[in-house]
Amino acid sequence: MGRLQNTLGWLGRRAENVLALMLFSMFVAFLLQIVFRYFLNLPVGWTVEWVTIAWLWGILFGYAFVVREAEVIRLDVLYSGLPPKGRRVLDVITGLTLAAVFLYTIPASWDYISFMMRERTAYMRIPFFWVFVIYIPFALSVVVRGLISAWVGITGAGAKLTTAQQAETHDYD
Amino acid sequence: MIDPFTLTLILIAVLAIMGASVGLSMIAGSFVYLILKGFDPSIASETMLQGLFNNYTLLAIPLFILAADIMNIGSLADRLLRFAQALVGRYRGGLGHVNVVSSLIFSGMSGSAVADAVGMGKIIINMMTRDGKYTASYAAAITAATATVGPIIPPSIPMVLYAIVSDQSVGFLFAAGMLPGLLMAFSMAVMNYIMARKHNFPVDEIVPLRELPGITWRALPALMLPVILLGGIYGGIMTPTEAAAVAAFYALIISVTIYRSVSFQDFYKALLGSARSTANVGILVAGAITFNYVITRENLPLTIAEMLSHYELSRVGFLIVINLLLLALGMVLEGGAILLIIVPILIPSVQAMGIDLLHFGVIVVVNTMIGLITPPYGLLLFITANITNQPIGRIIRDIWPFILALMVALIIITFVPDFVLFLPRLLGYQG
Amino acid sequence: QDKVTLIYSDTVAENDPRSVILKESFGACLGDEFDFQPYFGATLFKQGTEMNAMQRGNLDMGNLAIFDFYNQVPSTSVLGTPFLFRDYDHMRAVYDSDVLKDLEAEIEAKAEVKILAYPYIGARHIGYKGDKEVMTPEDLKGMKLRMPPGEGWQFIGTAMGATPVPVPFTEVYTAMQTGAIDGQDNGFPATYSMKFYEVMTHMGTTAHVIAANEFTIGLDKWNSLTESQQTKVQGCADNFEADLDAETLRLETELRAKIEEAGVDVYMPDNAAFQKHVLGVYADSKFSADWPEGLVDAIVAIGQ
Ligand code: NA
Ligand code: NA
Repeated sequence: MGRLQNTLGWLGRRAENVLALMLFSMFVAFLLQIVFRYFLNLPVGWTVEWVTIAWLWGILFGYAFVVREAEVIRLDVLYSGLPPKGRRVLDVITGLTLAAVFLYTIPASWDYISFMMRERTAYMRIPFFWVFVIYIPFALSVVVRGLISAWVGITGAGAKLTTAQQAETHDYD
Repeated sequence: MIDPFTLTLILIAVLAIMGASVGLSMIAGSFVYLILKGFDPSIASETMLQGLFNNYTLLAIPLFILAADIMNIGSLADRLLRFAQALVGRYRGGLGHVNVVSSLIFSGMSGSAVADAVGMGKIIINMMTRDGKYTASYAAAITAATATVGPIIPPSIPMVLYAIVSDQSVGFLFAAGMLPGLLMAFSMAVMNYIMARKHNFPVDEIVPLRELPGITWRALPALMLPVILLGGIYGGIMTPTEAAAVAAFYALIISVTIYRSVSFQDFYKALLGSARSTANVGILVAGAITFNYVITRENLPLTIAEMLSHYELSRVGFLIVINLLLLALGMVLEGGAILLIIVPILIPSVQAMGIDLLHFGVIVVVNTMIGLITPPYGLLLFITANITNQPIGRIIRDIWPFILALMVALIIITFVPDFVLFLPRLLGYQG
Repeated sequence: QDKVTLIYSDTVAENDPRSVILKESFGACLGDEFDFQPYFGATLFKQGTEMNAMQRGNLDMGNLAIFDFYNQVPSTSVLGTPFLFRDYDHMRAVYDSDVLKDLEAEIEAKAEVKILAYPYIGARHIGYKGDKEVMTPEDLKGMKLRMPPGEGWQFIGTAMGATPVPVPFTEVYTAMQTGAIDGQDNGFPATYSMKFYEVMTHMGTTAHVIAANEFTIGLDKWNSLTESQQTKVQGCADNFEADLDAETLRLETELRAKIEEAGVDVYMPDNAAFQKHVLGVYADSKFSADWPEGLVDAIVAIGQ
């Protein structure tokens, strides 16, 4: 058990490294784009495409492997007002519902994503399959996290998620 | 038998109220809608992936978040406060005014009210409560209230979100927020003055005028950022999206070279924190994009526009209704959620009313910012409560006067469109 | 009896004249046998994704741009070549001829969609701030010309001799005003509605792109129709094409006059020189790699 936790912890930190690197690459690509266009008079297109792909991957990869339950944008007016038992019931219901819907639709989503092998991005000519395939691990993580949240609700204490404690992570508002 | 669309709306509402992620609830609801209608469920994943991929403006969001996070690791906030103190500390309720002015300056560098409160909150609240000059709840209240100016003065993440759903120019939206932001700051300074008279708040230590040039000089690199951003955008050097990267770069450069306060560790933490926030808000965006397929397919925005037209509301009446609706939603929803989910449904009605979409954008963003300080769900209340260890109830008691002051500003912003549109028109906006 | 449902997605806004004509000339023309459901403003499917949606059976019809076909039918790139057509009449004559028969057969085989009509949506010209009339590619040298973002568009600017700059459409006015760009390449309608004419002095009617949409239906949907239904759909598509052509031409004439009234010098450059130069650049570039043998010559010949 301790070994598994260590491994998961290690993987979690590597996922964080990857995510930070994606944002860093967006930052650098934008700066290059400005430099190329205005200082060297060489408009480039691949930078925007790179940034777009990093953004898409950053969201889905980040949400799947890095974002914690406590940071998630939720309406917690009802939830945070309930006693732990009430929250456990809600965790079970929402966890199972999300897991069921995302699991059931994975085959259809996979069908679309593999269909997109035939279309390519404008500059780097990457098949859209490779751009969009990150959706599958994302959907799987929603399923797994939904099941875990339901399991914890059934067996253990209700999650202690209140936005009030984590408000500073919502720094886009 | 309930029709699939109604069932979908109920499902999303129930999931969200039960505390599920709002973004995931909307994606799941869209899947269920497609299944119930007998359509291909992959339309939802397709809409989401293509929507995230095909939107250049969206790319400003992570970089504006990064810019704010970088500014918050340096000693920028200290320097700005020192500057604000030298400038307005000498008046009655001095530190309250310092709070207003430093929020205003900070707002020119970051696009997020939450980041402003986090970045400056702790320091200014400490300054105000030291020696018992101000109550902790008053310090918390005015800090939360003044942070709302952040996304009104450019740059602004909420304005970027609005630009996406309304197809307006980010550059003009930024310009449109300028005067309203100043007006909001002014109205809160007036309220602070009134409160200072009432509670006999002290004058701050008076910084001798001869020290002012030196203090200004040290704060200057930070003061320059809004000028660089707006100059860059209107000078045609960069798009508003690229401006976000420039803001982050500039914050990094002045923090490293001038203020020498950023280590590699700090920078990594800022990157990771911003990437986390980006992923989190990104899923909300993804949910809104996906759900937009459903409301389009059901022609909901047009249905609402037609419904509203039956009431034969005047423009004034319509604006009052919209403001009340947005304020009510702001009590329980995040600003981003209102902008991405509710506003797209309203836009056809707004257009039918002949209301300028740039003007409307400022109204919406001001409302969502007020929502950040209205109970029960107010992110800025939570943040300042965490900093001061005050119960939210007590902060709320002290924040009402400021909400009132912001309402006065909101009324002017709503009913004097020329005030909002003056600057964009000066820069070439046609409308 | 069940009506035939036709779900249609367009990038043009609902209140655009083009959408009004579509609803009248195509939608109403179809009659009671069909349930035509149009969605505008790229709200149902994103621009450029309509063909995939048709192929997957999630959409019946769309009004596509020729670039949308490129990934799956590379030879279609020929129709996006600037200066391929001399003017509107030349373009219409080409689409009415059978010179594109092989290309259309290839589209149906590879992309499984059928093009019903090629409605004319306008010609693009160069509008700029300057002190002289640009007549030849040589004169464009050094001009920062805004072209739509995307490699294909940017190359058009390069081939014409300018320095292309990709600026988002909504930021063009400001960019022209501040001098970040010298010019842009929209037609009369956009130049008028976006008020670009206020910040420019000249408009050279290069007509470098004479644009038609591809009014398209999914092949499976088409094959599911009875013969009389097919005749009806094709007839109404032709009807839409004719009406949109007429409206576009009328609008161009009217707005040209208004832009001239506003003091802009509207003139005709040496388009033969441009055509010769640009087609040459294209022939030597990777953009001609997929062109069907001899098709450009055949198209140019129709214009002689
Ligand atoms: Na700001
Ligand atoms: Na609130």
